[in-house]
Amino acid sequence: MANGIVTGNREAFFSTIRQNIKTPPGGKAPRVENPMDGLFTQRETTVEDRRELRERFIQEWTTLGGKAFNIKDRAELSQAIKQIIQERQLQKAMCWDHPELENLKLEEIFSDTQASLSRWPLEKNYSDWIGKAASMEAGIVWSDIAMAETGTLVLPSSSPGQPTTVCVLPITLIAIFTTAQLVDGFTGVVKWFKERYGTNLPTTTTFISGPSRTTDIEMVLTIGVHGSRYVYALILDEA
Amino acid sequence: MKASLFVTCIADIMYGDVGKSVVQVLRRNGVDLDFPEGQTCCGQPAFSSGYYKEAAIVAKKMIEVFEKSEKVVIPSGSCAAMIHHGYPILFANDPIWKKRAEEFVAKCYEFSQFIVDILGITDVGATFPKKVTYHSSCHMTRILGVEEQPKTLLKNVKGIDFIELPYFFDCCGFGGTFSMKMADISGAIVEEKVENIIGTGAEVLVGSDLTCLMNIGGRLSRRGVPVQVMHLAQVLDQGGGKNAY
Amino acid sequence: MHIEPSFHKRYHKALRDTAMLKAVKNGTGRLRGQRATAIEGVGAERWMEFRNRAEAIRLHVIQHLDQYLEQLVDNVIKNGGHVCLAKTGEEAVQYISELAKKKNAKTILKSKSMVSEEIHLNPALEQQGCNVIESDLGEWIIQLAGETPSHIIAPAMHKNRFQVADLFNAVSEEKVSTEIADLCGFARKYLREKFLGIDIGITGCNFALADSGAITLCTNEGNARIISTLAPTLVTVMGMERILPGLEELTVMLSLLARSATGQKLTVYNTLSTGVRNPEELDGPQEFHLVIVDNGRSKQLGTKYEKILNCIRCGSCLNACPVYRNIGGHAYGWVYPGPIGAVLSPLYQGMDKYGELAYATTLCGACTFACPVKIPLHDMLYALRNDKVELEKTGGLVEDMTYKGWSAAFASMSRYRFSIGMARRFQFPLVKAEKIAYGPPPISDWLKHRDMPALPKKFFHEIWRDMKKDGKE
Repeated sequence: MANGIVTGNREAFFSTIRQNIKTPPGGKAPRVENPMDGLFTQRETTVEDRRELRERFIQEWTTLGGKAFNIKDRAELSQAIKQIIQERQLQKAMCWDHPELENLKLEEIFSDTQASLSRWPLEKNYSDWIGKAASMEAGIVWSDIAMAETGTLVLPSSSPGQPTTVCVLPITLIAIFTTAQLVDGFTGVVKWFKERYGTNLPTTTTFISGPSRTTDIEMVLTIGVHGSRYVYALILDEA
Repeated sequence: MKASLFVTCIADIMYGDVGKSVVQVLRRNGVDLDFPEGQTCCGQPAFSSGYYKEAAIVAKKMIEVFEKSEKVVIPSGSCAAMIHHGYPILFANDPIWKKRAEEFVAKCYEFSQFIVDILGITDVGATFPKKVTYHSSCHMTRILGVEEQPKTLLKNVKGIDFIELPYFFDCCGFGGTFSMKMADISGAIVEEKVENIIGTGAEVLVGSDLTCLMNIGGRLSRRGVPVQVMHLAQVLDQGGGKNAY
Repeated sequence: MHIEPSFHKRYHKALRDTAMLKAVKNGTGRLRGQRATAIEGVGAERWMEFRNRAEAIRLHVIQHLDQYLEQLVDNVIKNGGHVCLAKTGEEAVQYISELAKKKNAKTILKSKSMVSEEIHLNPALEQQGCNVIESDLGEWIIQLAGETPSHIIAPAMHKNRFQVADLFNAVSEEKVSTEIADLCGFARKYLREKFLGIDIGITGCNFALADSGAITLCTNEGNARIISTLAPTLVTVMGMERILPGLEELTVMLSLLARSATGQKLTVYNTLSTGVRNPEELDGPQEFHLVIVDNGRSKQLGTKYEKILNCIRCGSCLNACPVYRNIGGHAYGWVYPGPIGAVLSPLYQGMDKYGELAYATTLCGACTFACPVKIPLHDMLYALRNDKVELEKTGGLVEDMTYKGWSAAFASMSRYRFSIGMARRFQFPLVKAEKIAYGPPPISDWLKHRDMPALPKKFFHEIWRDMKKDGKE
C-alpha cells in the first residue's frame, strides 16, 4: 500500500510541542511497565476454567440484553439456530466466510427453514452488495475471542471474508464461538492480539458488548438505535 | 496532652459558643489547652479568591502565632484543609517559609480528627437523645481526608438516633464568595441540601464546618424549617457532666 | 449561533428554564448513580488502582507527546492514511472543507466529536452546500434544534421526549409519537437511509494508538462504526492529546471510560480502525484522513495546567458538580461545560472571554474526585483565579479593595479585633430577633436566599477571657 501524505508544517507543529514540554523536577513520568498488571483477572487455562467463564459470560451477556445458548452438539446447534430464525422471523441472513463457520455447515441447517443464508462476499461491487447487505435481517459471525468479565465479543476483520459490515448492518447479530475462545478479562485479549498481529492490526476490530443502546432521550434506556437490537451468543462446548 | 486552639475567625466572630464547647470537650478529655492570642484567620477567603499574596501575609502571621504550639486543634475542616493543602501552594517558591509552613502543617488537626486519631477516643461520654443527621463538608472529607471520625464520635453519643443524610457528600453551595457572587446558583444548591435534610426527619443537623452550617442554617431559617443546627463540638458537649473549667 | 457574552446573564436564563433543569437533574442523577454502582462492583481499592494507573499512563504520554504523535503520524501514513497537522481550528476546517470539495461530497455523516464542535466544522461544510448529518441520537436531536451539546456524553440531556417529538415531526413524513421507543425507531430508520448514501464520514477519536496507528471509537449506539465501515472517505478529527502508546494502555482507559461515563463495564461498541482497507477487502474506507488538532492544546504543555490534557472526556465531573447540576451545560458558553469546561474554556479561548467561569464553582472538589485520570480540577480553578489577580493585576475592583483591606486587618490582632468590634457595634439597624434578613450589598446577595445570624454579644476571645477570669485557668 502506498504511504499517505502529511499536510501542514510538520516541523513547526512538532517544534512547538517540543519547546513547550518541560521536564518537571524529578524527571519526566516513566512509561508504565505492564499497565494491566493486577487490574484484570486471568483464569482461562483449563477446560474447567473456561466452562466457568462461560457461565460468567452468559450472565453478563444476558444482563446486557443479549441471549445466549449453551450448545454441546450439532443437534443443539441446529435447534438453536432454528429457534432464532423462528423468533426473529428471519428470511435473509448473511455470514462470514470463516473456516470455523464453514466446519459447522450452517447452510445445511438453514436449508430446511424458511430463511436463506448468503456467505460473504454477497457481490463484488459496492453498488451491488450494499443494497443486499442492507436488506439482510441477520449477520452471523465467529467470535475469535469472547471476554467473560464484560460479556464482550471480539471481532477482528482478519481476512476479506470477515468484513465488519456483517456485524454492523443487520438488526440481529448471531455470534458463534466455542468455550476455547473464552478469556477472563482484557489480559487474555491483549495476549491473543500480540501473538496474532503484533502491532500490525487488521483494518477493523470491534469489541461488542450486548445490543446497541442509547439513553439520549430522558436517560431512558432504549435498545437497538443504530446497531443490532437482537444479539445472540451461541457457545459450543470445546470438547 | 498539650494543645493550642485555633478557633478560626468564623467561630471567634459569629459562633463563640462553639468555641466554648470545643474547649470544654477537649479539657474534659484530658487536653491541656491554650489559646494563643494574636490568631485571626487561616487566610482562606483571600486564597480562594486568588489573592495569594494577601493570603500569605495572614498565613505567615498564623505560622508565627502557633510557632511554640505542640499541636494545634481547629474546629473547622475547611480551615484545616486550607492549612494542609493551601499553605504548601502559597509558599511553594519561598524555601524559608515553605519549611516553616511544613512544620506548622504537621501539627494541625481538625477537631474530630484530633480526638479520634491523636487522643484515641471514640466516645467522649456525651448524651444527646435526639434524631440527628450529619452533613459532610467538602474540604474536610475530600481535601483533608477526614470522613469517618466525626460520624464515629456522633454515633457513640448516648441516646442519639443517627440518620444518614442522603447525598451527605454533596456540597451545600457555600463556596466562600461564591455564595454572594453567584447567589442564585448557590441558593439553588443549598435548597437541594435543605430538601434532603427535611427528608430525613431529623431534629438536628450536625456539621464540622461553621460556614457550611451558617449557609444551611440560614436557608432553614429563611424557610422557617424547625431543624436545629449544631457544630459537632456542641453535641459532644451535651450531658457530659460538669463543666471542666 | 449567537452566544450571550455574559456568564451572569447566561446562568440566570438557565435558572429560569425549569424544564431544562428538571431534565439535567434527572440525567446527572442517573449517571452518577450508575457510576457509583459500577465502582462498587469494581471495589474501591481496585478502582483507585485503575485511576492511579490511568493517571500515570496519561502523565507519561503527555510529557512525551511529541514522540507518540510522531510515531502515530508515521504509522498512519504507513497504513496508507493521510494526516493533517492543524495548529488551529481554522486549518483543520479548511483541510476538511477542501477535501469535501475535491470529493464533491453531498452527504456527510458524523459521529460525536467534541473537537469538531470546538472548531465549528459543521457550519463551514454546510456553507459550501454539504448536507452534514449528526448520527449520534443526542447530537442529531440538538442539530435539529439548532443548539450545541449541553453535556459531553449526553448532548441532549436538557431535552424531554415532547421536545424531541416536535423536532422529529418537523422532518418526518409520518407522525412520530412521543413514546421514546418510537422516537428511537424513527431515528434508526431515517438515519439508516442517510448512512447508505454516505459520501464522507467524519468521526471523533476517543484514543489513537501510537504503535499501530489505530483509531479507537467508542459508541453505545453503533453509529461511528457504521460510518467507519461504509464511508468511502473517512475523516477522523482528534485533539492532539487523545493518544496512547498501545493496546495495553487502551484496555485500562476503556475500562475507566465506560464506568465513569455511564456506569457500564464497557461501552457497547469499541472499534479499532487502522484506516484504509486492504485491496481485497470490500468494506472499510478507501481513503482515510486523520486531522490532528492543536488549537490551544500545546500551550498547556509544561504549565501548571498541563494535566488538563489527561482528560478522556467521560463527563463524570459534570455529573459530580453541584453548579453544573443546577445550571446545565449551555450556561458555560463554550463547547465544554462543567468543571472541565470551566478550566478548558479560559485556557483555550482566553481569560478575557471565559475568566468568569473560574468563579462558577463552590471549590467543593467533587470533580477532582470523580475524575478517572485524577486531574486536580478544583486546584486549577484556584490557580485560574490567582492568574487573574496576578496577571491582570486585578480580580475586580471591589475584590482588590476587600482583600487588601482584609490582609491589612487580619495580619494584626488589634486591627482585626477593632474591625470586628466595629462591625458588631454598627450591625444593630439590621438585626431582628438575633438574625439579619435584610441588608446592603454585598451581604444583600447572601440574604437573597438565606438569613444570617447577628454577631453575638461576645466574641470567642472575650468568652475565653471570662473563662480565665473564672479562675479555672
